[in-house]
Amino acid sequence: MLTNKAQVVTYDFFIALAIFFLVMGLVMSIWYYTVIQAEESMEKRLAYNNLLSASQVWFKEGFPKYWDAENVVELGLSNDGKINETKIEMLKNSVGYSKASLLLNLGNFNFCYEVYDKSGNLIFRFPQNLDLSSARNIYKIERIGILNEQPVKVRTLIWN
Amino acid sequence: MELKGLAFTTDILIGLTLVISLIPLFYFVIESNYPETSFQSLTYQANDLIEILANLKASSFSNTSTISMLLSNKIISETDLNKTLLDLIGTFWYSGNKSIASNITKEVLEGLTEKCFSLQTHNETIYSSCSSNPKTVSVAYRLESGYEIGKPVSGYVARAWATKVRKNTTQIIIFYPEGSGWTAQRLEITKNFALPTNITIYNATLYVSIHFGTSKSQAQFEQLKINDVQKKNDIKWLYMQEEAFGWEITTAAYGVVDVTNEIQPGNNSIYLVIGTPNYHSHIHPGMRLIVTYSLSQELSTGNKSFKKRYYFDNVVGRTGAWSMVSFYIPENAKNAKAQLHLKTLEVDDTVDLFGRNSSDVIIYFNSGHIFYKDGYCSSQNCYPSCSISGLYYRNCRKVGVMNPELFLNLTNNLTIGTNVISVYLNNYGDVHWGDQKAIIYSDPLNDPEGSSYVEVYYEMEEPTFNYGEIDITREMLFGGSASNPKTFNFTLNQSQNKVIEAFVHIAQGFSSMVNASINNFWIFTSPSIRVVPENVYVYPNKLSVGKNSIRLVDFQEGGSISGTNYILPWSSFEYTYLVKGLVGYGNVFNSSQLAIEDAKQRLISQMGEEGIKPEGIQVDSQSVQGLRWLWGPSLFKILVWERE
Repeated sequence: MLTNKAQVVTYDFFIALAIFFLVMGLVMSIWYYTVIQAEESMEKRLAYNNLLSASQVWFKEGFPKYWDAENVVELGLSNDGKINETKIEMLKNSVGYSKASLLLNLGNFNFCYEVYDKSGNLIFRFPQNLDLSSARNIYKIERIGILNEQPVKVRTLIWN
Repeated sequence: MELKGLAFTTDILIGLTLVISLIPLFYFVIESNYPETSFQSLTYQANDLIEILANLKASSFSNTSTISMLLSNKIISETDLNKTLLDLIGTFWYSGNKSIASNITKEVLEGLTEKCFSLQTHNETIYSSCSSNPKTVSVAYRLESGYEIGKPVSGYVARAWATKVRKNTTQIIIFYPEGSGWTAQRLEITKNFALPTNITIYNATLYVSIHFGTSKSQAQFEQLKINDVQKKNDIKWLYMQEEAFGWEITTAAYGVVDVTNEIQPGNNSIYLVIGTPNYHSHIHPGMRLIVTYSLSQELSTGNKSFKKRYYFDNVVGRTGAWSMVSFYIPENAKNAKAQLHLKTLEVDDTVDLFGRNSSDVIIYFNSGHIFYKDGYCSSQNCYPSCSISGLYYRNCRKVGVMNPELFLNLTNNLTIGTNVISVYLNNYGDVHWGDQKAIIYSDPLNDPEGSSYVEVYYEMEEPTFNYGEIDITREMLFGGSASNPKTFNFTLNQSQNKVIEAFVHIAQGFSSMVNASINNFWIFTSPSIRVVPENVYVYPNKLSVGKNSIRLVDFQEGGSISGTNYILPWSSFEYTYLVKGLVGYGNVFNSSQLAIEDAKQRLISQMGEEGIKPEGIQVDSQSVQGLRWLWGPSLFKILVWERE
């Protein structure tokens, strides 16, 4: 009788132990995955907020209303509901990427603006050269604005 | 024991399976954050699209197929290209050109976004790029109004209204059913009436509806004088119905005579003399004078209180005289009152076999029961108990001749719609008594207060017409053939949508009792036998623009439809409707003078369609600047959702 009991206990014990480790392993994996996902989610949310904020530049006037490279406090490329061509020229030629990035307050994110006409032809890009080879995550939003009395598609890209 | 261990192991494995199956839930919990950002993106897109429509001018799309087609077809002008796209879309949408609005939307917005979108207004879709149903949708709104295509946004507008007009209208002067007693030898009827003095008469037609001797040897048609001009031989007889019952031979006749040359502005008189040796002699329903004239009229606001007099015709009967006057109270009248002034002459004062004073004056009002009598009645029909001579004459003892004058208050027995009062002197029904003439006196032109009349008073909540509205009266003949029942179908057009007064004129040969309805709505039933008025009031609110129908039925006292009492085709529908004598602000013009001229022309054209010519016009011109009108404000919304 005792022999039989000991055999049963031993048999049960090993199975239970195996299951315990299996469950523990699963729980640890899920926990790790969850933490990673949460971090990525927060990162994405932050990136997305930055993306929307950067895209909104095309639809606000900024400060001062008619700023120049010297006095610009807040970047905005629009006036009276339409994109101001002078402002986007100033953005490209006077303000420059570094100052623009600072004004946009994008942190570690890089950015790029592209404007396409209704037929999909690129008519504006800032900065001129776009290198996404080192980009880890790229975020993109397309908006629709008015430039020179024509509707245009405004693409905003940010990446880290 | 082994079995127990196995059972335990199986439990564990089931539990483990459940735990593993929960793992995907963690994934969904983590992923549930993303729709928020997606929705935010949709919201931006929706706002961008509505801003495009609200801020971009149509000129930016002048080379698209729809707008270039509109330009080349001159549906829009270069000026209209200054409108915003939303204004242009709204203008076409609300003017009924929905496919144009849809095409413009499509050509402007397609290709700008990869997402699905839909432009809507007032829950109607102007254009949708996808047919799929959105699970999550973002909406952007914009309130917009606009002005009509081709109109400048500033300049002058003007309105105009007539202060004095000349209109063509119709007036119908009716002869009440009236006559003398049985075997009357001579019946004289005089109708004195006044037309407006400032009129030009185009046409005057007298329809004659009488009951006299036979159509052959015994016809006693003695006189028909219009303002002392004899016209009896000019009558064109349209219908004759002779009936014989033994020696009683009699004729109902309906004819027409042109009296345009005899009727004049101001006071007029028509004198009729007929008789029959062996039957009644009287006027049947349907005798009326129709005068069409043009009249100069100052525009004013209608009254809210009304006092009208319905004068009796002067009726001289031998023996006996009677008359049946119809008048009306409109359906929304308040404080309605009515009184009868009856002035009679040469009425024989009789007593019956028992010496009791006979009822020589009998009055019925809206009922088969006697409303007033001046003596004793031994039966319901008030025939005096005297010796009988022949079939219908009561040989009562005459004790004198009297000229009774009565003032009777009718108010308590008034009814909304048609009212009928019947006065009988020395006769009722087929029975008559007395030996000389009896007169219902009336001469409204020379003795308006002393004449016999019914005076009606009532008030209305609103005036029947407002300033700037002109009343026009028209008449439509039933046409067709004589029949019983008879239905008349007619159409009122849009310009006649405001009818304020309407009547059916019943033309009959022989008659018993009548039932009248309009569009299946009852309007009148004779309260007793032989009470068939010449005209029946039609409730204007039962009329409608488009098709209408009037149905008249002559029926016997027992309810059966009369076999030979026909409704004649010269029965008619008379209606008075209002025409607007003003026009509102119209197009925008570059000068005040042009705007005024346009307003005047619009007024002349509008009234001209109804035969009205303005004789005095007042105008009001305003300058307008950037005035938005004609459609809107309307809420437009853009819906954006992910493509499936």
